[in-house]
Amino acid sequence: MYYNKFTLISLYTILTILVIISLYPFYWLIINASYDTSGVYAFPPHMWFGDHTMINFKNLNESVGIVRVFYNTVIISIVGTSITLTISVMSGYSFAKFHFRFKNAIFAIFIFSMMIPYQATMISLFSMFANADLMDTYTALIIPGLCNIFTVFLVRQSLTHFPEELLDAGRMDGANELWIFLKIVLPNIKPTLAAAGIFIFMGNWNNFMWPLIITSQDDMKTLPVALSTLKGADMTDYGQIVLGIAITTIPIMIVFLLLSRHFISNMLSSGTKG
Amino acid sequence: MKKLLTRKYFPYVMIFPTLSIFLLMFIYPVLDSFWLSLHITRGESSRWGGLANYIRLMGDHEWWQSLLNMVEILVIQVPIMLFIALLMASILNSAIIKMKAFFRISFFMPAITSLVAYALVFSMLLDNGGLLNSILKSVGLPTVPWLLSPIWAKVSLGIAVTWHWSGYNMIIFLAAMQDIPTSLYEAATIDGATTWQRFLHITMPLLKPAILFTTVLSTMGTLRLFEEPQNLTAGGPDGATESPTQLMYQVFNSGELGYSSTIAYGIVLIVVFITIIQFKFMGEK
Repeated sequence: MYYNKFTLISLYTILTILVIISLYPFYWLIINASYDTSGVYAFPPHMWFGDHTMINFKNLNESVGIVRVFYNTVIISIVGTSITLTISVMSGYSFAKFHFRFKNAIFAIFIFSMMIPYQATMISLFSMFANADLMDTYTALIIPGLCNIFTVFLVRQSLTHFPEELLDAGRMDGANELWIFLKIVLPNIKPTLAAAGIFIFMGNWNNFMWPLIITSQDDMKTLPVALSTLKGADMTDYGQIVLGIAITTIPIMIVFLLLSRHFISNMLSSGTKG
Repeated sequence: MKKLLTRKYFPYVMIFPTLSIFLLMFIYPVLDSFWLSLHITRGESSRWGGLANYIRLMGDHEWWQSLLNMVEILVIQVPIMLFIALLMASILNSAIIKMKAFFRISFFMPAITSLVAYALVFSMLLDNGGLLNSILKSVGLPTVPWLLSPIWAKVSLGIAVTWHWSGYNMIIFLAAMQDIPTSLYEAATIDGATTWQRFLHITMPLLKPAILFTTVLSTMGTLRLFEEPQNLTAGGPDGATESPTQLMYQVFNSGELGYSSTIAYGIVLIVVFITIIQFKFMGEK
């Protein structure tokens, strides 16, 4: 294939512009978390760290209790993700490798349910948990998110072509099904588990609507909810807000950058083909 | 106990947790929301209303306005975003580009941020005295009322959503492009096809399923926008960027559980209807 220099230069120019647009907001965010309001709005924008981080942090902790809110978000995300991943893998495996009653009907309902927007459940879930006196509890924050049909689907897809002989070999040796699942199946789908795990974790970490309606006390809020109320309260201290956004974003960035190769290659190979 | 670990009973054990949570936390609330939508609620009191809420919805100016807002954003923003995603994917799929992993990760980064967080970042960048207007001013251009005029507020919302989701759609396109056998391109090149002709006659037709998939995802996503209008524009100015889900949330907040469930069902019906139409439309072509 023949490409002239001009084509090559224009392609790289387009890519560079797109990279700057994609990444600059992250840079802006990290830098400006260390300035006060006038620093955040300074022009030309600051390109290096300021010295206002600790003051912003102190203010942020006074206004929304950021330490507690961060802790809530970590607990909910870790507990929620572990349970969701475990039970989704269990049922994904059943759908891929077993026959049971109503299997196809249940699976069809699962697929159809992915089309229904979450709005359809929110209000009823709210009255359910409010009536059970479970508002402002971790239980209420975690349980409704545990059923993740997309992950069930993803795991089923990646196990459909798992060699039947390996399972049968285990059965010949007299192993029970649980042992086969834990010792033969799971070790073989680690990449899928990692990718699905990040997806679920991000979903939990960034979730907004449900924590917004099921929490009323400040000390049970999650990061996105606390951020949103901060801005909503006619807050004019933008240094605080930017630091809050940075605290919400950076952990996810780190998780993603550490596992990104894994994650993107999984999306490229299996995740999106359906 | 041991019986549960045999091949016959094991799948029931394995599917039990997901299925029970699905029934309790999805199926039941979906049905219950419908039941609620047939009731007229004011705070604690609730009475049977039949289709009264649905009749109210049909005549609710704010509902139609919010729906129209989303449709306006949808028809303009989604094609632009998918074009950008397709551009990114095509460039990254060509053999002459190096550092592909770096570009892929960079383009995907926006998709990992919390919707609230990026909406707030854009609310500051697009503020009247924010970075974008400062740049415009510094090069001698007039400033833009990004968040202050009804039209520009819609544009701002579109820009923010495009920033967040382009890279995500790019990955879906890249995955589909990698499935196209290179032999097709080689044969076309031997027949004298140009790069553009190869793209138009080989890549595009084979990308149709991926384009359908991303269109459906983006349409569903736009119709149920909540975090962005809530945090970027607060639905304003004059309700120009209010989304149906925001309306549902406001009605819910005012204690009208019944009517907000009706709005939720309005959203569900429209999302399901449009998704089915899109599948039909693209399937026939």
